[in-house]
Amino acid sequence: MKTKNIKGQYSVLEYVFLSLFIIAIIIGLMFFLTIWSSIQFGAESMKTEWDRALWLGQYVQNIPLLVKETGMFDDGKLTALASMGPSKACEYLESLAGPDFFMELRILDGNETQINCTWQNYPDCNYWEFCKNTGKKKKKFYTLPVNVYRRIGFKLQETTTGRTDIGILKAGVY
Amino acid sequence: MNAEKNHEKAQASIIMIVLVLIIFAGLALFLLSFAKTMSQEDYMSTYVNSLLLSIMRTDTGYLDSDCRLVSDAISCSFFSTGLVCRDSEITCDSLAYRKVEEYINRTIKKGFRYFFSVTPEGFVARSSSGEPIKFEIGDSKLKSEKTEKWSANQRIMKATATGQYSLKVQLVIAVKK
Repeated sequence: MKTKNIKGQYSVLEYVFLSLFIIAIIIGLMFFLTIWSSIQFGAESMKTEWDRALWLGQYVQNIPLLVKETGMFDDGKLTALASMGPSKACEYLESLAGPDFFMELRILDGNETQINCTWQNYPDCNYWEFCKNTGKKKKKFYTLPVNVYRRIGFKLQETTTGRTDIGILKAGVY
Repeated sequence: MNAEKNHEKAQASIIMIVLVLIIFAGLALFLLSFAKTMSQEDYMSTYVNSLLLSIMRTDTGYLDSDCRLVSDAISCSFFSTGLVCRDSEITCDSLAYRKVEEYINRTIKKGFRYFFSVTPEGFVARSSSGEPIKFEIGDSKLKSEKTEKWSANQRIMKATATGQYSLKVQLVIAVKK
């Protein structure tokens, strides 16, 4: 009799544990789906930021304020904008490209030294940067090869003539 | 005998629990594999097209109109083979080779290999010795290799007294093995 009672209790316990286990699985599944949704949302948000960074890299190559033609920046225009001062220049660009945007442009002239362009050293310089805020958090950017039209490219005996160099554009978002 | 039956039941329960856990983990992995990350395709396509266009539009350093831009020097290699650039001792085909190689090596991302080729379309350009002109720089295996690669194409058109001709310029890049 006692043995039968114990056996009965074990059977009931077995079903109780099984039910608890199934409930635990269901709760686990619910948690997992919630976490997965937030991962998906985060991934979509990151993808949107990367897409914006790529769009900016293509967009700045068409802004008349900076370029001579698509994909060809004008060094005179870049220097003029840079000479407005970092915050004014950034404000101007952000009004076109949106907030949290930055760009750098470096001419690959074989010179290892990076020389920031100002009116004082123009045209003997090879680098421009806009909205570069080193204090901000991680940035997402793309690099693209571009051309830079140097207005004073070739210095001839009595005159100067333009020259097209190759450079790297780094444009992105914070 | 009853003890044995209980053991079997317990073992069956454990196996069932393990199976459910495996299915659960498998489901989690399956769903996670669909979590979207950044797509590189759009970027790489833009990158290779920008690289090719930028190289072709860059000045070579010579002011002669046949040698001024990289695209001029390439065109000269096919239509005026052996022409020496003004105020220099370099021929336009040597200049084209040198400048294309120099600019690609200076600009291309680290860890990438490339293959640059120029092909006449609808005609055969021959050198002074009668050999068909071949303009290829870089890893030629990339042309036929079945690997993930990105390519860009441009055309150089030339109108002459005998008609209009075009050269197909192609740049293919891939990650180094």
